[in-house]
Amino acid sequence: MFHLWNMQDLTPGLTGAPAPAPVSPALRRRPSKSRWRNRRLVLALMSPWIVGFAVFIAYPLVMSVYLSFTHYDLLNPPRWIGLANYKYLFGDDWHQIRSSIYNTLWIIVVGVPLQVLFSFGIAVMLTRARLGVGFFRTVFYLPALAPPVAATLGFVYLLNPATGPVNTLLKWFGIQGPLWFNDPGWAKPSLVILGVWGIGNTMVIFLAAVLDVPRHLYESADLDGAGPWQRLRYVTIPSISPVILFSVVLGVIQGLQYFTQAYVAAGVAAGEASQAGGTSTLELGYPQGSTLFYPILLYHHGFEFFQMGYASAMAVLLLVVSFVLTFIIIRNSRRWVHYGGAVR
Amino acid sequence: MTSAAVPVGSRELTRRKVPRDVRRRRFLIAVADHSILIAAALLFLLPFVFIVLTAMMTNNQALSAHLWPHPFRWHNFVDVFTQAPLWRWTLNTMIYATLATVGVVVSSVPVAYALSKLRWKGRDMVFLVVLVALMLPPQVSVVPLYVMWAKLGNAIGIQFIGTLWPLIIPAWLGDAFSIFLLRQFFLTIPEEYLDAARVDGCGEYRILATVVLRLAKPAIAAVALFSVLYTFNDFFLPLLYTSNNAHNWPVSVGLSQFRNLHQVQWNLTMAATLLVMAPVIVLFFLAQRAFVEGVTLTGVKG
Amino acid sequence: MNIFPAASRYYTQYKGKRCALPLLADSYGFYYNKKLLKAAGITKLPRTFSELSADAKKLTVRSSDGSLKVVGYDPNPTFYHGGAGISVYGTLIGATYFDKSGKSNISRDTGWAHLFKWQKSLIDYYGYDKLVRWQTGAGDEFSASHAFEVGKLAMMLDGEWRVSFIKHEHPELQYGTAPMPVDDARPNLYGSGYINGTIIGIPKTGKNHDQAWELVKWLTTNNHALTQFSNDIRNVPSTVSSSKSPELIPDKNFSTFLKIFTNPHSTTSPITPIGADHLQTLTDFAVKWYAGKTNDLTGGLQAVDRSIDSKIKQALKGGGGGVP
Repeated sequence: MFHLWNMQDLTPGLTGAPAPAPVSPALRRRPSKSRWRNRRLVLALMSPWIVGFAVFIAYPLVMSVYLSFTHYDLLNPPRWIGLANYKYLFGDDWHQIRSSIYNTLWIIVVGVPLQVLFSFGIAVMLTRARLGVGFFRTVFYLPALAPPVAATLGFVYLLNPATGPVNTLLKWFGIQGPLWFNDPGWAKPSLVILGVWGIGNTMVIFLAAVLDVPRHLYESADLDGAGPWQRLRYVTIPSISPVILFSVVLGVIQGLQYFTQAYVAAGVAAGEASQAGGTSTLELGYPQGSTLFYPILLYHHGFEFFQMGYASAMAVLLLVVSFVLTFIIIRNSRRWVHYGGAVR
Repeated sequence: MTSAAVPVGSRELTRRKVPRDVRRRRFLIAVADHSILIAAALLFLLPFVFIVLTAMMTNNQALSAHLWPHPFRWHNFVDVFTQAPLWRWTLNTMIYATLATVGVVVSSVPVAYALSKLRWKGRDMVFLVVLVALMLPPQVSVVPLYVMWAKLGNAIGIQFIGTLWPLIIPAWLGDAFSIFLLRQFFLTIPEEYLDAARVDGCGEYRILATVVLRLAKPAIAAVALFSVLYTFNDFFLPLLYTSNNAHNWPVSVGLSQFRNLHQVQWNLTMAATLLVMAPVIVLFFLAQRAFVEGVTLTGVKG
Repeated sequence: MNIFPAASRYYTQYKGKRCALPLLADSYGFYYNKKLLKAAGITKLPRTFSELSADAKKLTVRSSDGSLKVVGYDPNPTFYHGGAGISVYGTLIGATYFDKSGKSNISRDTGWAHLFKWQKSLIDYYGYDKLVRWQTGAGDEFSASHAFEVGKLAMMLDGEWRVSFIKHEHPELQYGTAPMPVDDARPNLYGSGYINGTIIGIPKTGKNHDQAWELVKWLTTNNHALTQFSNDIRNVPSTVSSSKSPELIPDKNFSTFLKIFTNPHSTTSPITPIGADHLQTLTDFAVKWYAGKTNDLTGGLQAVDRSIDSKIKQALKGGGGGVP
């Protein structure tokens, strides 16, 4: 009964090419001249990116792959050692690598859905509210404006187990608050909370997307007697599904690179607030390795112990995993992402 | 349920009076909505309360566990200016933000368009390749790129190290995040609009410049906003390239310099952070009205 | 070169080649709160770990809800200590990190087992979670609310710079200094302490090598320069003769550290091709051991040895290790 206002189309290709809706006659025949013109157009439009990619992405990427086969301490020229870094990575060092992979995957699997959910939820709430919408929007966006280091520091102090306001408040209710950033079981959840606090950017994107849903779709739904939940499920979500995909993919990629907040939080929680970073406590991933994420381990090997060759090998592995994961997610998105927003 | 029944073809609008229980239900729902929003807003503001309080403490208290400033040092906000060239830093940040943002928008829009609204072989693979830029861990690309800029500077006689140019120039050559976002938005634009324009004889460039830009205004505004805010808080790379040239420090690098021999002075750092954030908050508050209002207008489509 | 004590000579060279010179040094010793000790009826300073534990228990005060208010001594090496971590205890147990063939020796050197068992028994007395909770409420290490300086920590192990901090931040504090208690099995080590320090060097690619050398030579060997520097920032002057110089501002508490610095048993941590990674590996195990996440001390230390050995093997693959 609701098919009238569902998105038409549903065979998006890998990237959701617009549906095979009836094509206007002007485009049906594609003589080779116009195909060449099309290609020239594409090249012209993409040219800045092509240059940028070659210089700023492809070149460092190739260098990283090269360095991963060397021993490079940043002071002397790189020395070729073949597969030794990779053998070490999957061999003797696997124990620590594996736990850093676990931590990174944990923060993705738990953090990304929560962030997407909250951003979407708040964005929808904002479209329903009548009073003070501008004020609320600013409040929810504010944390995204805070410099990451200052924000993390604020959080670690707020969640200080002995003296922080959160635990003090809990004590009034008779609950003994957990050790938050100082407890291996709570450190990652605390970081997730910090992440959800900073969803301002994603919320704005969802807001723009939700407000962009064509009104007439809602009107058709109303005519069919749909209630608010059904409107959400059958109109809003499918219409903005490309944006949901965007948030998920971006969230996963950013999760795979998660560094700053964990690095600062671990350092501050370990008692280094006055030194602002630096792992002089020699405790990696404080507490007890629970915040040792893959990029932190990479940084540690590359810039704290000057094993850039090994760090490059770790980076290559990360790149491959990122690519594969992104590919899988986008491939699977066919089933739930709708493009083209047209209704006949 | 609509509150106005508009019989097609009638010349008058008849407004049905909304029954009381429906009005009451709607009122309760509005109260519930706003309560949730208020509760969430309070939670979101809480960490800021802490930052504000720290900004008004003495340095010693900032490192202790006491949360209420005792005494209140309003003077911190003045100290920040005398201790540091905050104006110079802000100017540097504004130059960086403006140039980078314009570059990002100008270079990313065409690419996103080509990846979404034009059909060509290999398009999907290239899109994945664009995303590769987001997957490269910055720690690793940092070293080869730094060396490249240093060597380039020596070769052509312009010093790039010590300036923000190594950050501004790449912004004009496409930014993967913006391309991705814009592409997704462009994909929500119905093909019909573009086909109609093509049938009318519009060339592709004109379609891009008129139809697409207008329909995707909220997305482009979002991209510009994010670029400004990202460059505002960008720390690691500016630190790497400008650390030895204090004249070119942006605000983010400057903020991290409130320290004496043994410690970071968190009270001053927080005070400076607030001062720096204040105009941005005001800007956002004003700009969001314009950009959201722009959205709701274009939302009435079809 | 003998104007520098053995430990300082050691940490400025690698494989016999001199890389740098010591410029001011740090030595670690024992601080105790005189008022709290007197109140607890302790008249003799502890000289061994077990005496230290006994005294710490007498000095510990708990609040009504069971949480710790005053801690006698915190044996957790990742708490405070200026970031030197577990290496500060290495000297006190006469530890060897590596055997003659260069293999990691931690599981075979009984000193380490003694250390870990002692630390854990004291930590368990406090309760690990309760101790962590107390630690998070302890003031920041380089602030005026440092736990020892405000009387929340009765005894501690710290470097000589603390004397100057206390003088500036809490001159009213009645405290004393002494050498750190040592392993019960090695009482002859009493009087020594861990040594570390700042170093100064001349980069290979720098210009004006000769002038740079003149400055370095003056800074590192001229007694007058050293004592003045030492007086200013209260670090240990790095030559034997300067540490005895009459120009040093006399301070009973500070002089303890001068004695520790020149004690023949005082050592520093070994230099390895993997930098401080061996300490990192040991610490990663130690924190899990203290938290009770593992009960197998011997097995754990053997795993640490294996890990350190494989890390060294990997670092040497490039032909000559990384940064020493």
